[in-house]
Amino acid sequence: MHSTPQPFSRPFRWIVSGLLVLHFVGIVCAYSANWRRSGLQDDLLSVLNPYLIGMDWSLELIPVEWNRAQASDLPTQLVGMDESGQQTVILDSQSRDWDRDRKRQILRVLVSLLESQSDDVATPCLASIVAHSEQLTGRMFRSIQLRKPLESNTDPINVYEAFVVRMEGDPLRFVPAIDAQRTVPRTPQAASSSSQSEAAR
Amino acid sequence: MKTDRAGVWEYWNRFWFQPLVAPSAPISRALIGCASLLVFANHAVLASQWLGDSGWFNGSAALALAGQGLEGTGAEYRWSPLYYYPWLGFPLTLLGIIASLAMIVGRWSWLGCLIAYVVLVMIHHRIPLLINKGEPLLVAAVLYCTLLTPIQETSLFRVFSNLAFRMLQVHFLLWMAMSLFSMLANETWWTGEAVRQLIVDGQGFLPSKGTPLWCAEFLAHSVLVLQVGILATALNPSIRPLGRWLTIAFCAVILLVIGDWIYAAILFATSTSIWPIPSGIAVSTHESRSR
Repeated sequence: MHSTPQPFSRPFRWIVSGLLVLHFVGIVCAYSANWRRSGLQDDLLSVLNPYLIGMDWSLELIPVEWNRAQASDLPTQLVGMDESGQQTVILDSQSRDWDRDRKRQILRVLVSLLESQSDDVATPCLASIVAHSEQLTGRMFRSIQLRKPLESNTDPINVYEAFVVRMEGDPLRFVPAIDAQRTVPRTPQAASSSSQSEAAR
Repeated sequence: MKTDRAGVWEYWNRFWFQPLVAPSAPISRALIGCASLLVFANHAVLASQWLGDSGWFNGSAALALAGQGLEGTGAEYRWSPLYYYPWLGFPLTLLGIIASLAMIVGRWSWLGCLIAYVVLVMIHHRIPLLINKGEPLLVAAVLYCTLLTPIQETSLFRVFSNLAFRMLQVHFLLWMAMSLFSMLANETWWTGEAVRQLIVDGQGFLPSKGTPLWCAEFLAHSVLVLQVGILATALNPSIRPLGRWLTIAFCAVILLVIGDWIYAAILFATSTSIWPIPSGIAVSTHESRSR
């Protein structure tokens, strides 16, 4: 076989080859662990995270498969209600805006977080979204609702409803009126939440 | 057996370490620069709404989603001045646009690539989970392009160029494989429901009402078959030319179903590392003119 002239020495090629293999093993590991991962992948990623995240090689739950048509992908709306009861659609997964991809994705993430009761992570996102919407519309929302059907071809229901709590100088907080994915009001908090939001105002 | 091993090592050396002989490399870099320009223009238009501290997604929300304070999330490895200086969003995207233009015209292109890469990472670290589907591929392609030195340089630089070009090709194929496997892992891609829902949601250029079910199912099957075809043609030299048309068809389906111009542009640009633009219609860059 004809051998091509090599400007690199053999040990240098070995080193570069090893680095190439490591690099692409990391990439394959990061890509294949986007939604589900094995324990081995998890261990490998925890070692490679400084490289993969620091250099921005990771995927971070980006929907590279476009759509999974699962519960979190069903049409979703985040709706705000002001004192007069007027409703404003804050975010709509079926919008045709220029940034619809981001709005769709953030709603998908919110649904997943609220359904898994990760309110502590969802709250800063909701606070940011509601505050920005209030700034855009000039309305102060008394409560918010996340509406989506539980299954395809069914009517949307409120999968999350919360009262907006305002404290001077602090980000918005939310007191749930119903638990995510449950239509039964969380009685003690639901009862106290309305008085709490009144008191906060 | 020993001869086989020697043959594999020789092939490996030729694949990764021979001086670059692809005259289309500057064209690929220019097209990746065009895709990068689109991405930065998109970020620039949306900078105040998504990168600022009073937008849809402020710094606290981003850090919460990135998993700050939770072990194993890797949130501590994110670095972006946008968390501390939210006003930097628009100036940074402008810098990215200038860097992308340098990639396109081929002057100081290595510096343009490096700047575009650094700015892209800053933006990605600021808005985790909300970047375009193709941006992880673009960020890799832009970084590889920093090593694509002008073709008339010395043999050593040409080896680096080849290394970068090969990494770009391999990365593109890994991306396509990952995209295909992610879809195959979902039942809704087998039944066509994934595409039907996207059409009903009005995400692409097909009418959300009136598009027949068989059309959605046909498109879902086409998306899978096209990706299989792209991977098969890239790996088989005897049918490789067909891959160019499959990639173009795949980008067209992306526009029809999800209407994502940026993703289609990124995929097309990176695919030219394997399927170069025919010389008759190639855009002339500074380097290709000076050769």
